[in-house]
Amino acid sequence: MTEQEARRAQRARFERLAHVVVEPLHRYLLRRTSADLVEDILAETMLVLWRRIDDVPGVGTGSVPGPASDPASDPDPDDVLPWCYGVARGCLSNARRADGRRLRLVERLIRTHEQQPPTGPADHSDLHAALDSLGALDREVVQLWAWEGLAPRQIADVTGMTSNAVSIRLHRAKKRLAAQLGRKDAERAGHKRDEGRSSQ
Amino acid sequence: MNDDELLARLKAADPALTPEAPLPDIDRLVEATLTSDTAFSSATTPAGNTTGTTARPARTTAGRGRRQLLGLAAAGLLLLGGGIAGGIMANNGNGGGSDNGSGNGHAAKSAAGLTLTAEAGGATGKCAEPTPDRLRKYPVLFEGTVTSVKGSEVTFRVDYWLKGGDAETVVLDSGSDEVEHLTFSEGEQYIVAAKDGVVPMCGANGVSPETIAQFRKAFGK
Repeated sequence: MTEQEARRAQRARFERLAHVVVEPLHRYLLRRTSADLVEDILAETMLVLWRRIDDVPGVGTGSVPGPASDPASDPDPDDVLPWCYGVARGCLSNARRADGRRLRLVERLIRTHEQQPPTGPADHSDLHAALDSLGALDREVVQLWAWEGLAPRQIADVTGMTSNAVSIRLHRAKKRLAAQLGRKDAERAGHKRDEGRSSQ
Repeated sequence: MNDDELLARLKAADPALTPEAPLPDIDRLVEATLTSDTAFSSATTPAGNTTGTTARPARTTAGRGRRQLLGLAAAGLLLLGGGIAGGIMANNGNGGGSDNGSGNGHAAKSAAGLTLTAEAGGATGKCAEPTPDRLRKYPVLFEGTVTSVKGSEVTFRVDYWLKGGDAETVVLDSGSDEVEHLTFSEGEQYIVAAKDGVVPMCGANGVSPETIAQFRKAFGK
């Protein structure tokens, strides 16, 4: 296999990987940062994936020579995504670290700006408040479970924890979240009843 | 509240459900990734395949997006000045149009080093970000890193010849009274254009890695 063929095969693998992971990664970043930063961090993530294409699990090694050695099938999202989420997570925290307070301020401004008009069919401010009350890692674990739909084993791949640690953390975080939301719901129900009575 | 209820509630609040940002163009993203990294991949691909190890690049581009965020306002201002400067440059190009392409070989071919002088002029505006199209008309064009600045004399190590030249180092006499519009700092990368041994106004620009990638792509070398 010539050098050129090798590079072409590598490119082909990267393209197949991109078609599988770009949209989930885009959603991952959209859930965690502001829309105008998503594009930059996504580009950064793709650059890392390309540079480390040989390390991505489940994309085929590509080092096996011979015809049709590189399966032309798309990689299985369940195999590749957790690892790629891990890369995106790293790029995101790099970006946050690099810009530190300024970026967080921007994000906070955007969030408060978005929250000001409580539009939409449902107001999720209670839920976001409850999520914000969790620690960063707890929140990430819960979000990976609920939004990315990952199993504890896969969350472990993303975060670098053990599956066991993930399960415990997830269990506790869910309990805390449910308790907080339950309390809020109860408060609101009570509040509504009061209002109803006073207006009669 | 049980697990399923919590999950439903979380899913309903998924910020990606109603994305304001358009979906990414996968092909464009792939293309951008590959072009911004061609230098790296060509250098390490063979090694990666034969030994099974992957080199980790030291260079990262993290933070450039954020820089853009701040730079947006500045860019708006620069465009104004750049427009004026661009007009001056176009005039220069037309004025001395007898010499084009390889005609500058006498200066560019010296392997030991190339000496250029900066054009004298009183422009006070800042230069706009260089683009391949604007600098294409110059027969000598390279990207280089400043290795030393001694008074008005700036020495470049040529990283890449985009057009017409093969010297490894280039010395540019920026003219002591012209520090106002040509400021060089050591270790920074610049794209420098020249014609007849003279660097025009806005012909030497500090550039970012993206701009360099853009130039390399445009000149296809």
